[in-house]
Amino acid sequence: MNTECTFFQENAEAFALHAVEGAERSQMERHMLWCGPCRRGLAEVRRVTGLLPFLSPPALPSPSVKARLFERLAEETTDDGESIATFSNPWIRTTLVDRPERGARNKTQTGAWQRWIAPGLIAPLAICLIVLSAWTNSLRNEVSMLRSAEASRTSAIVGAPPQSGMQLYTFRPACEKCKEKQAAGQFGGNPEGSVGVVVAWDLDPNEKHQVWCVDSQGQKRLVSDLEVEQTGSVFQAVSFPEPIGGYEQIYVAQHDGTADPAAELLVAMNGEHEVEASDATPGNPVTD
Amino acid sequence: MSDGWCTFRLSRAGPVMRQDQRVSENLAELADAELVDAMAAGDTRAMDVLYERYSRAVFSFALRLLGDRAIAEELLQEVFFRSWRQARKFSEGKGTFITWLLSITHNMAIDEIRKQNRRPQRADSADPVLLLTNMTDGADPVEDQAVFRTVRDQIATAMTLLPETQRSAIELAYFRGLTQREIAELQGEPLGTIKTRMRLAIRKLREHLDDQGIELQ
Repeated sequence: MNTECTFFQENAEAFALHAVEGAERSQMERHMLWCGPCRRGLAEVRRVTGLLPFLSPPALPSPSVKARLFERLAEETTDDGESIATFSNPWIRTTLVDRPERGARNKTQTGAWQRWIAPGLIAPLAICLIVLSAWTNSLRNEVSMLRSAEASRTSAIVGAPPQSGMQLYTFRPACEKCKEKQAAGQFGGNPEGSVGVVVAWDLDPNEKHQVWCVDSQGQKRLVSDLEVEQTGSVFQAVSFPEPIGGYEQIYVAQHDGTADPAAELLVAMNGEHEVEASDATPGNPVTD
Repeated sequence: MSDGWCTFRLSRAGPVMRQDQRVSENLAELADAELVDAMAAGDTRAMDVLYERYSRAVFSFALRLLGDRAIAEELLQEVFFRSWRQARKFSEGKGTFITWLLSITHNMAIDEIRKQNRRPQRADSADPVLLLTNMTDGADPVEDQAVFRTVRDQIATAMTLLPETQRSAIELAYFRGLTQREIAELQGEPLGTIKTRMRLAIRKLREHLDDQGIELQ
């Protein structure tokens, strides 16, 4: 028991009710990562708060919601069952997944203006689609090459068939400046491999960005500098010294990744230690 | 946040779908955990079953939080979509599937409320406590699912046993997205008082629910 535990226990109920925010919430989330008693205490509180949603009056959603959901699932799946689209086109996926209100607008608002203006947009849209398609194919090819190279290397080392467990992670801005710029990005890689791809956009090109990781010993290590284009975009392969899945955390930082301001929480990639910054059920991920 | 320093949080975006995954033909009879496994393997039929089981609970909660059907339906879609993409990360030992879904729902809805500084329409009610205590009056014609009806009745009963100040603290925080500091300011009470109310409220609810043997299995 220390002062952090005391603070945690004083605020556990408010935390579970989502009434703790900012630096205090980050502090508690970080505390949970290593303090078993406090984590278990919070789990007890959540046994109760987890029932509060059932106070809601029962209501039925429109059947069209399910139809739209399955349309999206279909978009996720290509003929061979691989989820390539999410990886090869992070901009589109982020628009749909991270900004549901925009997706909603696209899906639900069919106004008269669209019928009049749409024909005028067809030509430029077609050009955009051609460019986008070429770009997507380019990304897909690059990812495929990376996967093939990594799979071959893994296969050579362990003498077993290559794994196809490509995983995709989403960067979310943590500081107010990045939130304002709506900076975001994605990181993809095979947890058993040591090569990943960082795709990001709307970063500040005048700032230095680096990829950092926290290894299994809790040591923060610089992995690579990021090359940010003047547009604020990044598309870069990053080579890690060890398999990606072995790291506690992987993150993008400006200037100095060893800094550890109280306002920050870095979400671990390792499921054993994963705690979201949001109010998730312990151990289960929630993207907020 | 110190100047000149920024970190992006990482979160897993979703499972990689695999083909040739065999699941039982009687999907509707499978437990949640088995369906989630099938979903993680890319089986949309498993998602279909889970959606039928839990979409109503998720939508009801979303509507309760947001007070707008259209937005609640978008949130419903997004919650299930995320569960699809994150299915591989779900661990049954750390919570039930429905509590996981509802946790996603709550996180996203609260974020939306705070982001747009929007409150549910019912927030205009003079007495938010009534929102909780009046919920079991059967005014809504939609039939409740039996398994949830028991939980709902018991939690609603437990809420009525709380002092008004404690119920209000829970309502304002959990359903209206206010932080404990905002609640303290709104009610003109010291922050410590709000914390104490929340702590006592949760403790009493837990005692009542334990006595009744209520827990989501």
